[in-house]
This record gives sequence, structure tokens and C-alpha cells, in this order.
Amino acid sequence: MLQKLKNLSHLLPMSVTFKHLFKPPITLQYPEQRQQLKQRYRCLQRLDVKKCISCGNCARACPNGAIKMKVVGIEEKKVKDKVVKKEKKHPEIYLGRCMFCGLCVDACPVKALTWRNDVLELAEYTREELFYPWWKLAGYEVEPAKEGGSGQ
Amino acid sequence: MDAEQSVELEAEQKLAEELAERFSAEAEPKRRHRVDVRVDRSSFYQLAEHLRHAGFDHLSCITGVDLGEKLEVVYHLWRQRDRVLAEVHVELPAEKPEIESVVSLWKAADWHERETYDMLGVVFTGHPDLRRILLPESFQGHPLRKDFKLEPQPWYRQGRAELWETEVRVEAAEDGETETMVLNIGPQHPSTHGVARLVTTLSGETVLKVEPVIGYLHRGIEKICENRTYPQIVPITDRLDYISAMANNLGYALAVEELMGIKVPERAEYLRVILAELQRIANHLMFIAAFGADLGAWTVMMYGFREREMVLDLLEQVSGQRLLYNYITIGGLRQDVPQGWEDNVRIFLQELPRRLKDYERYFFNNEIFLRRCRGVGVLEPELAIELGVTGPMLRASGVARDLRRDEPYSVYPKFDFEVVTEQEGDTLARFVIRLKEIYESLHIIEQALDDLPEGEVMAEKVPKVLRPPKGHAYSRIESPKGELAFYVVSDGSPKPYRVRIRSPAFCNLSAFPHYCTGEIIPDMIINFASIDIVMGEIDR
Amino acid sequence: MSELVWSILKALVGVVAVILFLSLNVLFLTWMERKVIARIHVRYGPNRAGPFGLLQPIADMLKLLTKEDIVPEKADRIVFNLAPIMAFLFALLPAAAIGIGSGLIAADLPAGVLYIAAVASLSTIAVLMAAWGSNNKYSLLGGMRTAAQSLSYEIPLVLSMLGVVAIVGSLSTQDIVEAQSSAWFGIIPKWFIFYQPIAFIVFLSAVVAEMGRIPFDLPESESELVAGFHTEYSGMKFAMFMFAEYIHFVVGSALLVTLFLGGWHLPVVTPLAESLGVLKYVVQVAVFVAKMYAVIFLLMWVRGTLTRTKVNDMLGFGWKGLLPLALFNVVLTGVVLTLRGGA
Repeated sequence: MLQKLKNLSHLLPMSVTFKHLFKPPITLQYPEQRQQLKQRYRCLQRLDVKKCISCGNCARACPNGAIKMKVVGIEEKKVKDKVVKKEKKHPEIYLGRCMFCGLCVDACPVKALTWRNDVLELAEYTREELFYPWWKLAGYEVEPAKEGGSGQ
Repeated sequence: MDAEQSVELEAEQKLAEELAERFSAEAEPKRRHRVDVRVDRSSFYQLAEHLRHAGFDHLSCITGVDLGEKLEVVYHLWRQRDRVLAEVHVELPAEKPEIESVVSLWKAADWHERETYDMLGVVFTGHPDLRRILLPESFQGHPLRKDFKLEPQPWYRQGRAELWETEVRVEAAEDGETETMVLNIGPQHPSTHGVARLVTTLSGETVLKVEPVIGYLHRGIEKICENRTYPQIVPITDRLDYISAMANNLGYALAVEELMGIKVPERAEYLRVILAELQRIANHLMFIAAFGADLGAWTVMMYGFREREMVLDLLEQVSGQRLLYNYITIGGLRQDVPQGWEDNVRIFLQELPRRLKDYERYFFNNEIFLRRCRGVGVLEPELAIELGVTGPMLRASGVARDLRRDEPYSVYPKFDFEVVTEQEGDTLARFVIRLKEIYESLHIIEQALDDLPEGEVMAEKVPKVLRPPKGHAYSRIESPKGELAFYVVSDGSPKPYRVRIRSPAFCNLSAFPHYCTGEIIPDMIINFASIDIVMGEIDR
Repeated sequence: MSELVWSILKALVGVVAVILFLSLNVLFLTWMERKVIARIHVRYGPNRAGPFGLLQPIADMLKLLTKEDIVPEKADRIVFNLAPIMAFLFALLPAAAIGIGSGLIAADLPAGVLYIAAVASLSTIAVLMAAWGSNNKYSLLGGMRTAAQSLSYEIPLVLSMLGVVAIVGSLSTQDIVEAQSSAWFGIIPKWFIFYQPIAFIVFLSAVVAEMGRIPFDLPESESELVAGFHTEYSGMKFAMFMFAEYIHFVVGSALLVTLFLGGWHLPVVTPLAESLGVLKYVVQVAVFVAKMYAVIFLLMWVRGTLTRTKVNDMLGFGWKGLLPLALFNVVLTGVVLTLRGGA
């Protein structure tokens, strides 16, 4: 096959391109057609507030410091006849620093932080909009009203 | 060491004894293919000369490590005939870190020494042109020192941006020359594959001298790595050679696994090989596309990217990202491959050779292309080895060195593949060899898929917080561009003490000025394209 | 007096018609080129501006009109500003002597082919003006290369036309087309491509080089010299250069069709159309335009396929390949004509 280096026929390259003239285009006409994201695609994180145990592993795992834990309430728990006050914290992610590496998702021991594979357009007009507070990660449109302790 | 190992380490043992005896150095064989040598500064140059004449013709890397009161310079030298890598450590006092330059022994040391000077302040006496390479001339301080303060440079506070200049030495016209013109094929240019700057001295259209100026994409990755834990560095290594990110992950993971003594499970090893070879295919397809674009055939660029999409699809299914995977990690893989992935790979293995036939029909019947590339940029094999060139570029000059066979890592010894070489060493040979390597990679993937065992993909007992024992490790892999090596020094804490990245494109680019003088500009551009560089890995 | 007025009016009508014809074709060509190249690349091409992207040239024009006009500080202003105008002007000149129908010609010069050969080389001046006036090393290099290329391929171009002229015995383009009007057996046309195959190949290669298209793309080799001689131009001036390049394309193809492919003659169709009165002109123009677009498509296909030549290869091909071939063709034609009993 590669011994064809000696062949000097010019028309064969033309035949290759001619053949391609009749193939259907492979372009996806964005925004009418969108790419199907694979199941494991890493784009935006989703927080399941019911599962989050406020351990802070995600914030520690992030190489860029994009995740900070925000205190959203104080929880009271009974531990061996004592009432312990524990802070309930949820992660907030600044997407401007996130490199979508996935170490935070891997670090979560209870799988509260997972990947959504339906969103691809994350660009915003200002940097402030790139900051995703915990309720936006959890899927809420607006911040839910504060109660004594957030969601059980 | 038991009997079996002591037989294997015969060559290393012999070398260690020889060096210890003649130069009063402490030498010990660390493992197969590695001999650690510690030598005094005073006897270093004789040791280096002896090694050079004893057959150590390939200088892999020169590293500087800041040990507080001392600065350590580490040289990695490779001898092909018995496959031994000598790691020579020399300690220098921190107040006066001077050592003889080895440029006269290995031409490859040129840029490495400049970088060590730039980053750590080690002065190499006898170096022909010791200037900063990654940072501008007016930069003050040496960043990789532990006492370097991260604060704005004085010129920044003064607001004088013109001080951020890189000094470029341009020779004046010699007697008898009519006129030479200095053309800056500058950082922004459609065909410099990133932000490389070539300062060319031209006489008409003939190139008299080329000086590559690098450092436009310098992000301080080695310094960043000193402040991140071991698992956190894996996504950062992705960003080195961003075209073939799996290879970077693999190299780093191998270094840390060697430090910690982790054994990776079989299934993970096989999958790693499959992923590395898929990455090689993607990289070579990208090379073909970019090469065509440089020639003016944008059609080839489109076709090349279309084929590359097939590979990126496969890699996306496995890791979740198309370009910067963060998938091969310390201890194995982050998760197992999804269901049906192996079938997809098999479909790809059937499909790609058909498409490659189109490429062959296109390129090898195209007389204009052949005339353009034949005989351009011929690199002699001896010069190539001396300049530290590795990878497809070296094999295109006829030297059959391939780390997958010479210093095998992972499960490569189980596969049967050829080390492809071409004899001419010109641009066409570098192109053809990459096309042939794609076929070899397809062959390896097929064998790996056939033998893929079941099991875990992550080693057991990998702690959440990795604290490797004190020590150092140097792992080399055959990345698609050449020899990619990681030198990791650990001090027992969760963050490494020093990470040094030996990138193949850096060394291949340093060879570029030596063999392209006397050509015309279009030839030089094609020559430059055939090295296959990625600035991310050169500048780090 | 009315004689003079009548001839001036006729000339004006001719000029306007030529400019209109060329402009319409150029606008359509910008669209067609992008579409054809895109299809070769297995992608869509423009398809947003209007149905199938047909309004894309209008969008391009609007964009270029509204761009900022940047003149480099150290550029030679007069030369810099004049260059695009001259380029446009000189590109239009050869079109005056090429006719798209019998009698549909702006200036039926008895020395048509000579005139075309003479003014075709003027466009090099405009390129050199642009290259020098930009005060930019890249432009200078590009300009030098263009000048070298144009010069080298002028000679084979003109020599290949000689054979055709010798057969016809006249330099007028109308006469050349008329000489190709008959057909063997009424079907196979007696076009000069069959009489002068060598000249056809030489002319095709030379005209591609004159146009500055791939594979002789050196004037604007993008990946080597950013944009060659028009690196520093922006906005409407750049548009003028683009226009000039496409006009060259159209004029070159029209010339090829006139000289070698029978102009507006088609074996069965044109004799039939003779009896249609005014409609015969429509048929002739349609045939001419169809042939021209066939040539244009061929050249676009070549552009999508081949790579750029190197400078020395290009010069070598012109001087050592095409020139001897053209000379050989002239000698051969002369010998054959003499043996056949003179023209």
C-alpha cells in the first residue's frame, strides 16, 4: 500500500475529493441540532441536598479552589445523650475556576455531588453569573426561604 | 534482592561498581534499568566524560532541585546497548551554585541547562549562551526556589511594560553578504502550532539562522505541582500536551506508583495500553490534519479532524471529556469502562483502515506534495541522537529506539508490535512514519482487546491521602511525540517536593535550529510542522 | 455628429454591460466557491443568509463596507491607497475584448488577443504597489513572489494562444469563436481543445497561475505569510482586492472558453437557435455561461484537492516545463499548417 510512492497519477487525489462531494455533511447545525452528550460527560455538577453530609471533601479535593462550603444552617443531633450542634454546609462552585476534572464528584462519599449530562451551554455575560450557589446546583431557581435547618 | 533479580540487574550492578571505584561516587542499582549515582562536584565532569565515552549517548533530562542549603542537579543519561539509565545527582552549595556545563558532551544539554538556570539560578560555566529561556530577560528571581516570593515584578509596579522584553541575539551581516532581513514569524501566526516565535535571519528567501523563542505559554506548572496533592496534579498534567492528554496522565501515574510501590491490576494495565494507543492514533491524525493545513490543503485538515472525532468519541464515552480526560490516575483508572465500549472500539478498528486508504490515495499520488516534502529538513541519525531527539522524529532518521520496547512499562512486553523506522530522515519520512504508526497502534489495540481480562480497575489499598515515602522516581513513557518523562521527588508529605516534566517537544524543538539552515521559508515552515510540537508541553 | 454620439453610446452600453456581467458573476462566485469547497470538506458552507446562503455575498459586502479602514503609520499613503483601485481597474481591462455572444462584445478589436495579452500583465503593478506601500516584510515577500509568478507564467500563456491564432488567421476573439462553430458529423464540436491539446494544457496551467489559485497560491499563501501582499488591508480596500481576484477568475475562465472550448457554440443547439431572432442571443449567452461555469467548477475542485507548490518548484515548472512545451506547440502548429497548404 505505501509503495505507491512511486505512482505519479494526479487524478487519484481528485477522485478522493470528488467522492466526498456527494457525502452528507457531518456538521451539526447548532443551535437547531445539538450534540448528544455521552452519559459520563462532565459539564455541570448537581447537588442532592438530601444526601449531602457537609463533610467538605469536595472542597478539599478541588485542585483550583473552585468549591467553597457555605453554611446554610445549624442542625441539632443527638449523639450519645448529648445534643450536638453541627453546621450544615453545602458546596458552592465558581465555574470560572472549575476545570471540570471530576475530583470533587469522586471525593464525595455519599454521591451527593454528581454530573448532569444535559447542559452544555454554561457561558454567561458576566463573571458573577458564573458563580453557582448551592441552591442553583441543587436545581432550585431561587434561593429557598431559610428555615431552622435546611432540608432533612 | 533474590537470585532472579540479581541476574536481571547484572548490567546495572557492573556499572555501579565501575563508577564507585573510579570516581568515588556512591552508586547503586535501584531497579531494572536504573542506577542511582551520587557524585561530588569536583569529580562530576570526569564522570560525565567517562559516561559519554562509555556509550551513554542520550541525555534525557537535567533537573534542578532546591534542597534548602543545597541545590541538587540531576542528570539522566541513557545507554541503549544494555538499556541502562544512569541518574547522576550532584549537590551544589546554595550560595554559589556553579557547575561545569556538559554541552560539549551532549548537545541536548543546551536548552535543559538554560531552563535550570532560569528556574533555579544554577550557573553552568562554559555554556555558550546562558540566558533565560522560559521567562523574559528582565525577570528577577528564580521561581522554583523555595524562598521565591510570589509578588509582582518591579517593572510591573513601575508600569513599564517595555521592560518585558526577551533578548534575542541576532548576528549582524557578515562581510560579503548583501543584506539580511530579520523576520519575526511571530507568536501570532496561522502555522506556528501555538504560540511559538521563530526569529529568522533571512537573505532573500533563504534562512540563515533560526532562533525559536519560547515561553509564551508558560504557566508555571512545575511550581503549581509543588502546592497540590498527588491526585490533584493528575488533571493538571492533562494540560501539558493537551492533544494527547492520556499519555501525560499515564506518565505521571507511573512515577507516583513507582514511588509508592503500588501494583496496578491487570485489567487496568490492559485498558491503559488501549487508551494510550487510541491517544496515539488521535495525535497522529491531528498531525496529519495540521500538516495538510500548513501545505495549503485544507481539505485534509477537515478529513483528519473527522477521523479524530471518532477517537474522541470513544474517549468521551470512557472518561467524560473529549480532550482533557483526567482518567488514568494513581493506582489504575477512575472507573471501569462502560458497557459496550469494547464493541465500539472494535467497530472503530474496522472503520479506520478504510478511511486511511483515502489518505494514502490522496497523499502518495500527489506529486506536488511529494516534491515539497522530499529531501527537506534532513536530520542525520548521529546528530539526532546527540541533540536529544526522541520519538517518531528520531525513528524517521533510521534510529530504532522506542521506549515501549527498550524500557517497557505497563503490559507492553505482552504485545507483538514493530518499531517502525524510515531511513531518509526528511519531512516526508516523518509524515510516513506517523501514518505507519497508526497501523501499528491499531494492531496493538486489537491484541489488547482480545486478551482483556476481567477484574478491578483500581489497585486496592490506595489511601485517600497519598503520602509516598521519601525518595524520587523517574518514569519515562513513549508518548505520541517522543519520550515523556516525569521526575517526582517526595518528602513524605501529601504534596510532592519537586515535579519535573521532561517533554519531548521541548527537546525536539531545541534540535530545530541545528538542521534547518540553508532552506527557504516554505521549507522551513514544513520542517517546523513536521516536528509536531504543542506549546503547552514546551512551555509548561 | 450622431455617428459620434451613437458610437459613444454604444461604447458606454458595452462598458456598463461588461461591468454588470462581471459583478454579477463575481458575487455569485463567492457563494459558489464557498459552497463547493465546503461540500468537498463534507460540511455545509453558508446556509444561514437567505435560502441556501444565497444572500451571503450581500452580507459579505455589507460587512466589508462597514469595517474600519486602517492605514499603517509608516505606509506610503499614496501608493497604499491607489493599489486596490489599480488592481480593480487592471482586472477589468481584459474583459473588454471577450465576447459572450456573437456581437455581444464591448470592443470588438481586430487585435483582440494581442490586447488581452498586453493588459493582462498590468495587474502585477498593482500587486507590487500594494506590497511596497504596506511597509510590511510579509507583504513585501508576498509581492515579490507574485511578481515572479506572474512574469514566469505570462510567456507560456501568450505562446499557447499563438497556436490558436495561427489556425484562425485572425486576432479577433469573435473570429476565433466563429472558427469553432462547425462540427464533425454535426455532433462532435470542432473546438480547439481537440486541435491544440498541448496548448490547452499549457494555457490551463498558466491561467491558474495568473489567477493566483491553488496550486499556485503563493501570493496569498495563508499559512506561510499570513496573507501575502494584502496583509495590511482592511475593509473596502480588501474588498477591492478580493473583487479583483475573482474578476481575474471569471475573465480567465471566459478566455479559456473563448479560445479552446468554442465560446458560445454548441453543435446542435446554436444552429437551431439561429432562427429564433433575439432569443438566439439568450441561447448563446446561456451556452457560454454554462461552459464558463464548468471550467470554474473544475478549478474550484482543483483548489479543494491540491496543495501549494514551493517557490522554486513553481518557477521551475513555469520556465522548464511550460515554456518548452508552449514553444514546441507553436513549432508543431506551424509545421502542420504549412504542410496542409498554408492558412
